[in-house]
Amino acid sequence: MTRQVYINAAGAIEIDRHFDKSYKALALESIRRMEKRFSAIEPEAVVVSSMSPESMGEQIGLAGVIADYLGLRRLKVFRVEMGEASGLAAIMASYSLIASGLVNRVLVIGVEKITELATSHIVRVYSMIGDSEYMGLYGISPASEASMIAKLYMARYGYSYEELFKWPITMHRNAVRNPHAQLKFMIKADAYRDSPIISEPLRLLDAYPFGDGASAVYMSSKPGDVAAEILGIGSSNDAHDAVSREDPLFFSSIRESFGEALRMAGINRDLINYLEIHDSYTPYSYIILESMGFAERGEAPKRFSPDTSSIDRVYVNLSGGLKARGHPWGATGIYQVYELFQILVGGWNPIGVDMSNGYAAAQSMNGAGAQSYIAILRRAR
Amino acid sequence: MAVRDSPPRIWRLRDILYRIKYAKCRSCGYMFYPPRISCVRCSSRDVEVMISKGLGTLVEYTILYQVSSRFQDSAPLIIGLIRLDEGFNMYGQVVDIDPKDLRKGMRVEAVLRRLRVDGSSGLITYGLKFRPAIGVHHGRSS
Amino acid sequence: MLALVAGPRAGILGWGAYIPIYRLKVSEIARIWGYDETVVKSLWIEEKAVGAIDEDTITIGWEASRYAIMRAGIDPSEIGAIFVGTESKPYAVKPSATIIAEALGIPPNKMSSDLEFACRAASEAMRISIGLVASNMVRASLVIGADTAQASPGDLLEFSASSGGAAFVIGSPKDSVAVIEASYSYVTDTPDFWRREGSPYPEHGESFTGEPAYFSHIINAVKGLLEKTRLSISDFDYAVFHQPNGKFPLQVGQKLGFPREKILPGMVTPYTGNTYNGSALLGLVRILDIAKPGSRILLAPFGSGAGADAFSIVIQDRIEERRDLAPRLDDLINRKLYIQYGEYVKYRKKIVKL
Repeated sequence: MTRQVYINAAGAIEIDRHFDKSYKALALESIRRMEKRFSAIEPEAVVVSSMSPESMGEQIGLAGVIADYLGLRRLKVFRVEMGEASGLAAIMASYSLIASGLVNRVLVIGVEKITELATSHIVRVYSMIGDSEYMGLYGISPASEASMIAKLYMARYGYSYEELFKWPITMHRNAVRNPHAQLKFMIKADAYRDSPIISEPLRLLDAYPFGDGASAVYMSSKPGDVAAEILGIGSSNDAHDAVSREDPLFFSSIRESFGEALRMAGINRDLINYLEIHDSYTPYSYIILESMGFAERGEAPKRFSPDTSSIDRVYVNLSGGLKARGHPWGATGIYQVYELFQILVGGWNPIGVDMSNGYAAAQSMNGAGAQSYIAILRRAR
Repeated sequence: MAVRDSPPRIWRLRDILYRIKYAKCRSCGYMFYPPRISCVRCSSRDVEVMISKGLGTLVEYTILYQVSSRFQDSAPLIIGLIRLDEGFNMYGQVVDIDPKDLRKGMRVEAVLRRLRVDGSSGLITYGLKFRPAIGVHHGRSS
Repeated sequence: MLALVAGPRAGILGWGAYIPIYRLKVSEIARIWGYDETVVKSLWIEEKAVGAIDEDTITIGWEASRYAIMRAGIDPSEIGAIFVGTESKPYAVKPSATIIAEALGIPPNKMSSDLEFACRAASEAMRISIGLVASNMVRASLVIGADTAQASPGDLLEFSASSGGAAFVIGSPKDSVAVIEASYSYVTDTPDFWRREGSPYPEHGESFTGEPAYFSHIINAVKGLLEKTRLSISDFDYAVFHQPNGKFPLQVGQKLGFPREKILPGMVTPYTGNTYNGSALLGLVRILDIAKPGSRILLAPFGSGAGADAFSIVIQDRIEERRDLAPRLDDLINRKLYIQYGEYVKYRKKIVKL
């Protein structure tokens, strides 16, 4: 690669049902939050990541409309979309703009409105991430794929539903300490009993909530006074649905993405001490950790420590993860980078463990590991 | 939401809606659905598309309650993971069975059903769903 | 063995049937609408088949056809004509036949249409097919009689109107499992039962549907056939009539001089309800499932409006090797899941929704 790439500033709004805010208003608020601590924002490019403005907002080219509204003119404008992984895909695209020397400073905004429609219509839109000539066509929603994978995982490795449910419990506990999390409340060990079934055995508490959000990061080729550096970035893809792969319970695209990012960063997995992963559904959290090599296949539920929200000396999803921080689709990856930025540079210390001098990673995926992205960050030296 | 089904799209899809077309890799023997131009396992482009007889075994299943608005009339949907006898896996809706009678390992066969209906005046999309196999009578597939 | 009668001949190469899995007991309908049990008992219908929410005439026709083609042992590309007789078309304009044909893999060089004549449209298609085959216009013709019959909620008709269908591949008599040695039609303008364009349910003349319609036309059709072939009632081993309920076939059979034992084997409606275009034809399917070679069958479908046909069909030796190539009708009748009135109105879309 060529130049270093830094994240100089970040901002995010709380994820919620923002019925009163449009895409423009959400984006604006995330910038305002960023500008509170870093006001010298002069991007040469604006990259907007958003998964479904065409379906939810009747808007094509959202990036252009938002750039204009924010008064960002005479710039390069891009919209990046790769389903649920749009955010980290946008980070990767922005990274390449800067590293290549084409552009010096990029403003990346992840923004999503989901709560515009009734649940069944949100499910209809979300189901578009599946092949529209296969899963989408037959009504096989992403949640049903996750449930299928949950049952295959439980049968192969001998886990009960209750054993896997400790993940949502931990995520909720983490979210309480995250100012922008959507579900800032604890849940009991048997909370699943009253939680409606989405696709058995997975219940509402096993899935991310529907919410609107916006998060922004400002990236450039110079660290300035204080910044987080993107040391490594990787991406890979696989067959679009899990069951046409040889093993649906291991996401190769994640292993490949991580390997690529680690090689680029020049480090070993052991140096990572903070991780934000794409736990859209309970079973995926374990498969992701195994696919990243933090546990042997089938071992993650045993190896993950719910009390410390950690595995193998890595703290995981202190934000509450997709499960409890929330998952505004295209904005999620930007939220993850925002959280890494807060840990490394922003002084966020939710559990009294200073991780600002360590390595942090964010992992996003679309569907069940169909496309994956990983970014590794460290405080800039 | 007034999202209308497209006549050319349904017409274009009929070949894969009315038949189960899968792919077999001539290099490594792997079979997969839906067909892609290269093998999912070994990436070889020496792939041939074949038509399944539609008979297979239910490997796993889930009962989906939170359905898309397009399928609300059929909730809950029984989603199955089926291993077709030819040797590939696919997802499919499972019908004609009480959910409590579902058993991993049961024999299922693909049958034509209404898949989606575009309101009261739009097109009906027909496609294949799986139901418990009736008898063992299976001649040629179409 | 075959009657010495001139005229075009064809045969049945393969037969098939399909009955949806869901069943509604007539006692449930009586309970909801406040009918006294004796009224219901007099119809002789125990339960009726109800198509699932994703089933319709096209899906039912496809199922029955698949089994008919399996038994016929032909490739779908050999079928030169496909007709669907139905009064419950999914589209008022767009033929069910073309969708079924495409789904079965029947190529474009074919004749194809949906026919309407209340319950006898498929029967007419059978006569048309004899002409097509005998004149060498086609090698094989696929005839489907299928319906998801509807009745106004609470009307007496609701006890019998059901979903189901039958299919036959018609071809050369020398390859057939059963030869259609003769047929006759008797059709008049009789307003016994009808459904206006745009109306969701049919109306009928109650007792007017009896003597002037059902009985008159069937009796005249059968008499016409007997005159034409010089056969007599005693030459037939089985008599299969259109069966709107369990009572009428026994009555018309008695009027014609058939003993009950020859009519009962072809009685399907008491167990499935009246499948309209499938009605008499499912009775024929049942006989094809069980009858010995050499048996002669009288088939007399009837359709309101009104008309009846009479066919004389003789079973050939070949039938024994074809029988088990597909599920038998009794297997399908015995495949059941009971539902209540609520599921029934949901599946048959009788509930007004946004």
